[in-house]
Amino acid sequence: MSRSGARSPAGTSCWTRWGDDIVLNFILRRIAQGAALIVAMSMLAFVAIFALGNPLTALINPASPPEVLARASHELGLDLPLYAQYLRFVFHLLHGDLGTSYITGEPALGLILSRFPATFELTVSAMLVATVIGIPLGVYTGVKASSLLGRTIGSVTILLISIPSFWVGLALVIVFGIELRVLPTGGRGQTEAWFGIQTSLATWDGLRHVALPALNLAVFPLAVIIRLTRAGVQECMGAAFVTFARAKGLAMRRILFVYVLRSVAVPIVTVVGIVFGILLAFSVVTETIFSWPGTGRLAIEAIRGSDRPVIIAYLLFTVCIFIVVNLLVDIMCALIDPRMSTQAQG
Amino acid sequence: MSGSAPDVLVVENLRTEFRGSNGVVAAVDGVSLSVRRGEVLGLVGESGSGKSVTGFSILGLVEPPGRVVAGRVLLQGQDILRCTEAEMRAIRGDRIAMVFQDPMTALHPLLRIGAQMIDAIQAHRRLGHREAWVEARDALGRVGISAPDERMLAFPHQLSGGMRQRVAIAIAMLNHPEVIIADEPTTGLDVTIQAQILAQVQKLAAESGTALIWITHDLAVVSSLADRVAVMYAGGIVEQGDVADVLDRPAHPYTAGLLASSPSRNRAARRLPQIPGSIASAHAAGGCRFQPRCGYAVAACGQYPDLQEIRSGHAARCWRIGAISLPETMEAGRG
Amino acid sequence: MIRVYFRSFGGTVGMIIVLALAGCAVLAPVLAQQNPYDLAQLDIMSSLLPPGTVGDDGTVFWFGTDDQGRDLVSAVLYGLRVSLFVAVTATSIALVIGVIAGLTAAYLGGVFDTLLMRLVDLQLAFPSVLIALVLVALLGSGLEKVIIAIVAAQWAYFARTLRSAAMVERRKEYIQAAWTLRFPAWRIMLLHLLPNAIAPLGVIVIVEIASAIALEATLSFLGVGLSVTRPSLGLLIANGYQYMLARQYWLSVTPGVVLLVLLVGVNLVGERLRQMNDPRQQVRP
Repeated sequence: MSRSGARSPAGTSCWTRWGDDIVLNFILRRIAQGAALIVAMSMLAFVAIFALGNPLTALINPASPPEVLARASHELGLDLPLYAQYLRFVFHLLHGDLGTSYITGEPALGLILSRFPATFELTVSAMLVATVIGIPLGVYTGVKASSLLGRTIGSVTILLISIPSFWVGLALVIVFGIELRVLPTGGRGQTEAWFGIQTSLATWDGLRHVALPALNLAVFPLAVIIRLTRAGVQECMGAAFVTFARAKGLAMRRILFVYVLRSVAVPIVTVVGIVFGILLAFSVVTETIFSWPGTGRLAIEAIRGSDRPVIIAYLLFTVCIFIVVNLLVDIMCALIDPRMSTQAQG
Repeated sequence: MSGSAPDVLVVENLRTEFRGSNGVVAAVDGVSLSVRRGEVLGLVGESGSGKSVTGFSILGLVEPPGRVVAGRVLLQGQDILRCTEAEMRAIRGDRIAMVFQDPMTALHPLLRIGAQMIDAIQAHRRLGHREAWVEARDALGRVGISAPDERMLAFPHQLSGGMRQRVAIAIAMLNHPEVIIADEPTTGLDVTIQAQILAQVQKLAAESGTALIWITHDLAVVSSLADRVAVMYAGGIVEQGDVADVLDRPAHPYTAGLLASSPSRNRAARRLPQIPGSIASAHAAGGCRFQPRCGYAVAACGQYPDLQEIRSGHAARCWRIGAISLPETMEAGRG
Repeated sequence: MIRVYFRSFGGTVGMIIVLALAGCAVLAPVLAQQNPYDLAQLDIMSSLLPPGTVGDDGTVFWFGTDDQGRDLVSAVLYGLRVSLFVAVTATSIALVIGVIAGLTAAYLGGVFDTLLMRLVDLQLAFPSVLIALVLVALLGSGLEKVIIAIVAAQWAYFARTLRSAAMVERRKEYIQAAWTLRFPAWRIMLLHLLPNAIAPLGVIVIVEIASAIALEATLSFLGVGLSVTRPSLGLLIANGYQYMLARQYWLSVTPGVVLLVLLVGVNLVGERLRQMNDPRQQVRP
């Protein structure tokens, strides 16, 4: 009787289960939503450039002589009807042409893409620091909330969440950069190729340079991760399945690592997605303080210099990344928690 | 199934206290009971009587603000309340197992059934994954679950309530424990499913000789399943004895009241009598806890009664044993 | 309820801080030894003096002076004023807009509600810093633009919270009764729905004020916030940044510490209020 529909334990038949329509449907739906969102963002950007204010100034330096302006106006198709302009805009968008920077004269998108690896490095480093320190601390304070260490960490996180990130940056610069002279406070270190990509994390000098900015960037997400993990774990610990697991005679360690962690995995993954967004936003501040050559610093310079094409390009780029990250987070959640795909409707 | 079989589990004067904002409440107050090998003991009581806490106290699963403060729990003669946490871990799930009331919350929602069962096995025995898997699958078959191979790979939310509870029972039986404590396992289940599960459990217990403590509020379940019964009220045992004795000839007013208000015994379709009042004020009064609601209370009830033996194996905690008279319909209805 | 609030040590400390600093901000013209905006009072000779130095005319520069000889205590006091003004104004406007939006959405329901909530959810997916940056990028910098940016970043949260609370209230009988009595919509919304739905916002407002303070400080620090003529604490910190390498910390650190204390204070108050309203938290016996 046990031969009927014999399948090997766990493992291989997992894919037939995931072959269920439900999860796949959910993922496809989310991808479609993401795409729709990107289209909506492009329309918003279009409106921002072409409908608000003088579109000419968004794309061409307004200080140019009138004939240049007139010619540019024609070239840019500003005399065409609005929908045609939108189509032109999208056409350019798909070809990666988002205008040229006033300040440097380079193509806006190219500028951003060239600076992106630096920001990516910084963001990943900060993310690593925040999760590697944050999740274990969050689990610890969730389990031992009333201990002295637990309560101390709790208070510290409240403090960390209140402080603006630039303030921490300044403090770090003062303490480590100027007083102790341990770590450099500006710029990115030397890069070396790692799997074909130039990254500063591969060199000791690069690591020294990325240390302070990554730490600065990680502070706020660290506090957020600790708080959310702690809340999730606390909720878990009181759950019946923990008591039941104890009744089965399981060791606390196994209960924590397998049962509790699995339960908090979904909220944690969601938190990580949120944190990524925070990192993207705050990278602007950190890059400014530490003179890190990334997209954030580029954006601030563009804003201060009213370099519209770059500003628009930066916004579109950031929003796209945001949407993609959120999509990935949703997909991961659906994979971890089999109930998610049946619950979420759009 | 009474007789000369030795006691597997003996609880002596167990007392568990909860510290609350109103002071200290003894949820379990001087409870003593015992089960023999292969015997089914029904622990009956209403919500708030402390029957679930008794079960948790035996296994050392009472969390703060609760604490076991006094008493002994003898498993094959050894007092397990004195054990270290590591020793208790070895006992839980292996020598004493527990079935929880709500399998939906007791089973982890994100882990497959098979994984949770294999966990229970591997916590106590050095068994390879393959062998553990086979044992778990066979256990599922024994509790009457069809297509056990597929069920092993399922998640709890994919099973029906009755099946989930069978899984919980299967988990309890995996390591062939000496005692199983079942905390209202059929509450909330369909009556027909309930009957099936009860029959299954009875068969399993008889086959394996496992002692069973079945906690419930339902007298009908007790009458069909248990060999002996202990009635709890407000943290204390007010009557205990063989099922036939207690249910036919209850000696405590509370037991009588429970029986009288039980619909399944109401053959003449009369209006059901009720026990007036509620359990809430029970702990406040000194003396007999049931006194505020008791129709037989006299002045002597101001003093907490001892457990007095009425006949062999049947005892009740009441000053007025013998004063109880059941309506004729009760006696006539019991065929 | 006030007595219950003060049972918490953290909450009490926070409240003291907030009241003290708010008092300083309001009384700045009285407390400051100098008007930092009045160029006539500045003496370039007393620039970059470290804290504690006594000036020529006997005034003590408790926080030192900046690069133009301004007394930093005065500058910080006025900066505090600006920071608080911007934050409170922006949060209040965001509150009003959010309340109106949330209330209308809850009352009208249907398509309007769905659309609004989609918009709100979309916006809440992005961190407020990013939204504020976007607006400042599109609109430019300056006092009014910063306030608009902060309002844009915060209204969604108020809208959503109020809408949730209002949705719950809307189903209750007294709203049905008012509707049957044919009260005009605005009356039902403002006099019946609003007072009963507003409770959760009390806690949130405080936290959002703290958030607004931090947001404005960040924007000003980055140089895309307020203009130099009326500096907030953030801008003061930014101005002092260049002197840090020369170890003349006080230009940045003094406004920085005041900012920190302010934020901690407000957050403590907000946290205490949240604790008081959280049904799961019980006061430890």
